[in-house]
Amino acid sequence: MLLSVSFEKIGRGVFENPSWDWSNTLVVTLAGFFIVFLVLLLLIIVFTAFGKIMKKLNEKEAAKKEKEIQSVPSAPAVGEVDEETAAVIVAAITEARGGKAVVIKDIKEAGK
Amino acid sequence: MAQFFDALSKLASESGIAQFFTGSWQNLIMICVACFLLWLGIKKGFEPLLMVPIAFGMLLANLPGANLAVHYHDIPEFIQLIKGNLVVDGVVQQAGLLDWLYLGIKAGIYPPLIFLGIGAMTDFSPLIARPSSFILGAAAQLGIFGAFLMAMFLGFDPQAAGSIGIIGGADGPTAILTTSILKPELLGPIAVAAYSYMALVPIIQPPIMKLLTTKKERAVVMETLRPVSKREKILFPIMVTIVVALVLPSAGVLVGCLMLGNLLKESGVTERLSKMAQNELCNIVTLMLGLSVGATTNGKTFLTADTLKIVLLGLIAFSVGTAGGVLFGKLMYIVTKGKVNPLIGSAGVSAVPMAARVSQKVGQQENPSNFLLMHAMGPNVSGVIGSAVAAGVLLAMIPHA
Repeated sequence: MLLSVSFEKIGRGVFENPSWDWSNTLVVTLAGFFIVFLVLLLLIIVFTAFGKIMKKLNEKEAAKKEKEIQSVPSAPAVGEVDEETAAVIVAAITEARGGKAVVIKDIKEAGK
Repeated sequence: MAQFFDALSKLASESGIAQFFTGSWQNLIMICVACFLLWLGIKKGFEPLLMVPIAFGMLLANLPGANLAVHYHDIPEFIQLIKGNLVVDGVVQQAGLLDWLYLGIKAGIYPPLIFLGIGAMTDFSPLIARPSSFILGAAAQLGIFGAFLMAMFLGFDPQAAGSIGIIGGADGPTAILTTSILKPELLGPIAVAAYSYMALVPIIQPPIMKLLTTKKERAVVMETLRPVSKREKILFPIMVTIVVALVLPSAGVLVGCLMLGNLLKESGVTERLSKMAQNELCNIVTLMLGLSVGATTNGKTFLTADTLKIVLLGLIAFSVGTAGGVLFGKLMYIVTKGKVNPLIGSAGVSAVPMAARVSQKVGQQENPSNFLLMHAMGPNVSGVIGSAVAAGVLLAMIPHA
């Protein structure tokens, strides 16, 4: 039997029998190319599905982040605060907005 | 036909997945442990410089059939080896520097280490953003099997034909690894042919690309690729390693090292290792690989008619690979109703990033405002994986010592 597989240890190769004929050549050519295609096709399927899952996950995370940003007040609460406290509040708002710049007007508002 | 299916079923029975069901279930648990440790290293920052390589090593060692686990050798055999006594033509000689360096090729060490460096330099985002690019990386491997068939017609034995065919993969380390296993005596001519054609990509590919495409096809402007998140980039190398090594264990060593290099880069917690792999490691191994390959080319074995045949077959392999990629690009152009530019298919031959640049250049000749480079990088990096898989297929199917 030409096609008795032996992948054991180091002596590997589908064709265990040293005699080689043209049918073996054709099998290596066709089956070889077919297997390369099959493996990469499998990767397409895996990563297409993976991409869809990741896209949904990313959208979900983006929506969550946006919600968190929205929940942070853009202007400080009531009461008078000094310049230093105002700067701390503005820095906290800036961070909560994901690094979005806070205009100087906010500091004035915060300082009121 | 029966032989074809017989070969496929036997390859399937030797796959890593099949081995999970035949006594390798412990490996499956260890793969889960490895993934957990990767998570600890990357996400939680637990000693990442050690944790990430250890965990990835654990992953590689537990992929059944890939034969990547460390075996404990008998010490006396090592002592014999360390003595450095070589028997050349019946005469015992002391092994010299190049003999020692050559062991890195013989033992299959250098090519995977170069793949580690390539992985650390490669951005797989275009491929992650458009997974269909994998098909172009597969199509361009047509040259490997076409050249194998032609080499058999020209009277080479199967081992030599497999080594010649792999030139079509346009990937130096892959060609060297495959040849060093299948037909080490052809290492010199095959390495020289493979690297020469890789350097000649800008000359060989454009005429074939223009011949097989119309002006309209070459002018297609492709849609911008979607952004890829960091999480996707981190999971990609782990998933590719598991999928490829389980389906085709013989490709595990090349793909595994390529993906480890990429994980070092993308994880963001092993920057030192990533830079080392990209620079120092890759440079040192390239030097040793080049020296060792060069040292195999003595006049007696190099200056033969076979070398000329190999050079010619290498050119055919490269051209058929390019044509295969472009033709599948055309198929994608038809299937997507003109959304894919077939020129990106030629980049599937690997030769990163030269082949992608050629796609960009030929595309811009038709439409100067067209930027195909990022679109061509998908098939290009897919070609690296594809040629490693094709090498794994050849090693799995052609008998060798």
